[in-house]
Amino acid sequence: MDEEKRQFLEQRYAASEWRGQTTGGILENFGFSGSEIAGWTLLRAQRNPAAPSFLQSLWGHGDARDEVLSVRVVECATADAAGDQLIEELGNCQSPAIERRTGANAVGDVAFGLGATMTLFARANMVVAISNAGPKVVSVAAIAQEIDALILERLEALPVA
Amino acid sequence: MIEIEAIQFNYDPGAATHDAFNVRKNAAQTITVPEWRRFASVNPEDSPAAYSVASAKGNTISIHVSLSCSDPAVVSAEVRVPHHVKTRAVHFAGGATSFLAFELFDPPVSHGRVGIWDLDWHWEYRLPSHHHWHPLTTTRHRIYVVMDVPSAPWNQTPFSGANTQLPWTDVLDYACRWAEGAHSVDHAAAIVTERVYALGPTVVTYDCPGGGSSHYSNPTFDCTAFLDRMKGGLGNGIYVNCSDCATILSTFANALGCDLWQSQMGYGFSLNPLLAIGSNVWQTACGWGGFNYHEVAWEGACTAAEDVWDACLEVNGSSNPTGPPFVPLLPRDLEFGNPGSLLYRDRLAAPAGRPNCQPRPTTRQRRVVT
Repeated sequence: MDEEKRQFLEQRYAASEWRGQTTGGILENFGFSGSEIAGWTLLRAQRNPAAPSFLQSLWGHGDARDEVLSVRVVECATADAAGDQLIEELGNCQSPAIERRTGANAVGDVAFGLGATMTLFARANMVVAISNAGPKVVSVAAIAQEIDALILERLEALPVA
Repeated sequence: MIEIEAIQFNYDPGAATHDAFNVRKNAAQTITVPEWRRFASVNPEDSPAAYSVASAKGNTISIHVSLSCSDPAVVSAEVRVPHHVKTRAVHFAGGATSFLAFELFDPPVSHGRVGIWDLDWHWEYRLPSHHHWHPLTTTRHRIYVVMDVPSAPWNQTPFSGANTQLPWTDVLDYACRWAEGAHSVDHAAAIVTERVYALGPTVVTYDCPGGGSSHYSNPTFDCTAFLDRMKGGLGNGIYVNCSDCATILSTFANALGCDLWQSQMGYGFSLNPLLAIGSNVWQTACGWGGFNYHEVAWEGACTAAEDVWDACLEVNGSSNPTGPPFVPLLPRDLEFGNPGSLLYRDRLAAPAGRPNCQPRPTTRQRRVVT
């Protein structure tokens, strides 16, 4: 990323306030079986092995295929790298209206969102972007909670170092 | 008795001056040479070949053809395709020939414009000392013509199945149809810009719900997903942002021989009202008021002095771009400009935002096609 852009984003999204606030553990080969999001069907999942590797998935609700979600999971080498990746992902969003999410319902170690229709968060070494991909716009808030819970569950299942 | 066994259009992978240039079908499928093979090639799309106007200009274009003959008494013949392939003598050794060069009459590339031609070649032969020509067979071919050999991210070497950056005929299917009749690279890029923008709102639309996120261009160009979307599939969904549009536009235009980059401007600037792809409402991009960044297809060094092509939005082309009247202007070959010049920057960014709407040539790239 262009260094001036990185500086702009770090300042815009107050990175100094949230860097280092990370859950322990490193997940690898994160995948979906298709049953992870209640009421949604996994339509497609494709892993890109280039570093950092990411899993791009599409989920559908109902038969009409007008409710579609994109769930992109980036697997970073470390939690610090996930913070950098979060800035990278924010750097691919044109909107200045994306804001940090805090409070009891916030997901991840750090999260950003636009209304209830897009969520971007980091948890441990993972960065997750959830957004609409179909013409009928739906809330992604509950789905973000489910995926964050799934990540936490898999982190807790890691062998103790 | 006499048969055409195979035809090579791209018989010299190292050049495109007298033959076709190197292509593949898509990320997963290659195109082998000879492109036309007896029994295997039936429809035009089974025998694709692509030519460059700039490379072939003034040159004789030829193909290489192998033939067979099942009659041992026949050792030679003349072969042609009226109006397409010049007559030449062929000699059979053991009932077959090697690959022989045949010159073409007035091939599509000689017309000097972009397009796709589906050709039916009705081959004929004549035996020595006979006056009459006899029908031999009909072969069908799909000929793509572009203005110049595709530029990056497309490349020509190595010509191997492992090189996924060889130009894709699945991309040329759209790019050449879109820009049909274009006679210059700028003309082709202008038409591609119009066609990409016209994909909204049914095929793609601006990503208001997702904050203008990249769905097809992060970090590489997921052209496979985009082509799936174009064919009625899900692709990566309906939403696009500026990086997606800049990447689609420049990659498809560069397949036609244009020389565009994807490059950004910014960071953090307020906007004039605009029409984002898929929208018919003049507003400041989903009502946000500004952009953190914007990305377009850009020429040359991607500075204020160079021209931009923007398939993501229409700006206000009136004398005062900050308000009504709104005159839709799709930026094509429009200089980026400096504040006060009433060029691209002034039409996109509000007066207060113009100082922060700076060209960022260090972001200049051509995303790999996947």
